[in-house]
Amino acid sequence: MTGSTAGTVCATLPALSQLVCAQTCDWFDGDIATHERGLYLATADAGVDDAVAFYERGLRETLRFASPADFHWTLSNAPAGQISRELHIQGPCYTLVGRGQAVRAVVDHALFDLARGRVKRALLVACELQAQPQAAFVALYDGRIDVSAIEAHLRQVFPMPSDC
Amino acid sequence: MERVVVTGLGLVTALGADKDVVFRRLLDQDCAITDCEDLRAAGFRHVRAGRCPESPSQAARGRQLAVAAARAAAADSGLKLPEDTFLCVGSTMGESSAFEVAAQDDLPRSVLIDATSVSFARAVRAELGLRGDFRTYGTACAAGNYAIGSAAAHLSLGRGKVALAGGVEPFSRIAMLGFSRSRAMSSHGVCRPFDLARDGMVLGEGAAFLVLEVESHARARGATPWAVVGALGLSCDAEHPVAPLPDGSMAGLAFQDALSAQGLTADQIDWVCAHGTGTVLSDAAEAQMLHRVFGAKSPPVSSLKGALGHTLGAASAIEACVCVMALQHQVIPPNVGLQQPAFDLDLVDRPRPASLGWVANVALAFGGLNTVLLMGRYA
Repeated sequence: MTGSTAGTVCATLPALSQLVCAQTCDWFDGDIATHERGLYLATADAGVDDAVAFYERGLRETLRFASPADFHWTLSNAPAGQISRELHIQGPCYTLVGRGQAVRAVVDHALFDLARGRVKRALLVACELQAQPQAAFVALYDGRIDVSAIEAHLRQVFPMPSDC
Repeated sequence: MERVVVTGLGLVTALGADKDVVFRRLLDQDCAITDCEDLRAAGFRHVRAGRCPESPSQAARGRQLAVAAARAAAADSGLKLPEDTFLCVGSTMGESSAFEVAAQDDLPRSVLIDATSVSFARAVRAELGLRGDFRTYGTACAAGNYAIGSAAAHLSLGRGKVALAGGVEPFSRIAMLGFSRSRAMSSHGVCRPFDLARDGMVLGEGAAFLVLEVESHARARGATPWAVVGALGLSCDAEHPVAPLPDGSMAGLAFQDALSAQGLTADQIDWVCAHGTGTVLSDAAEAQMLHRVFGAKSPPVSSLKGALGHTLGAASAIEACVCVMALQHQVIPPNVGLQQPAFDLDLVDRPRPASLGWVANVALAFGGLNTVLLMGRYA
């Protein structure tokens, strides 16, 4: 349910994005140019709770005085935006919305860009917040390997810290 | 790789829902932005917007816009879309009204998940009887370009024969609030892209879809291709959550990415359909980008947002449709609201007949997303 928990949920997307960056910051070390790094993110629900919370606050504080600071978190591509800034990813930056279809699509886009040489390293992220913030998770895939062996290189599924 | 062509257009905008009417009104420099009494009554600071005249129901507004535009595109193509048509949809806010309702009354979270941008793809699939693969791009105000470029790439790789691609954005009070409080909205409610007096954007709504086919499929059925879909160039500023990189360098990289992928040089671009939101920062950054790419020799540049408002995730899909019609009719639609050009660009101030071979559809977005979709005259 939404409502009273929405404010708490709003803290989750930034935390999740920071978690991704912390787990992957070394993946982009070395001589990979920033414009040859790609980010491919699938999400079923990024922005959903934030949109509700943002508008709820706007109504509560009157529409003329609502804080604009959190507005960009209402967009589903906000996590990709934060990750790209933290990891200096200046190549293609995709956000696909949905579950299975979206995950397949980000893999497809990453493979395409790797194959044509548009990017030299791809970071694939799937994030889903679910109803409870502590149940949010992120799956990471390191795209710097033989593209025919994805499953063997799926790094890990990281649970969100309980204090998020 | 086989060429991908456009064979059908469908759009629903504040200027109308008939593609020829919309194009004529753009050439006539009509402006669809009006006062919205419901926004005034609700206490919004900014109350002008470009909303579709045939008002769909609020609850399913985006889905209705999506289905109407998709049906129009299919009809325009003269093709009964096959079940395996590849569907790509872009949007910024999804079915925003659901989130607005949820802010006042508890709704099951499953209802909200169903109201994301995916709902538009599902509605189109259901109404048009499509069962093939589909994708939903949540790439903010560049989502239309992502959808169209990705669909074209899919077809060019031989993965299908027909695709339906576009963008959808119902009017969003959440976006109205967010942009308003971010001081991105025009205080006068007038959008003047690239003008000295520009002071912000005006929100719009709409939907647009293009039917794409591999060239051999279109020709085999006797269809008339309207245009060729070229490369999609992408980059990310990776700099700021909402503000563009002021020097336009990464947007310029997206432009070069598209040109390089298409095997073109900058002097082969005959018109830039600009992002041109009318905000001080974004227009300045886009002008810097155009100077980087074209040097002192600017191609004609115009933005459609002075006429339609900023339709967010639908914007670049609507603009792609207009690019196709410009190629078809060999005439460039002008900027609406341009009185005193703020930049040393060839800003189009009235309809301009031109020999258009390749045009570039620029879309920039929150998150630092930069996209340039090339479209060419079919020959």
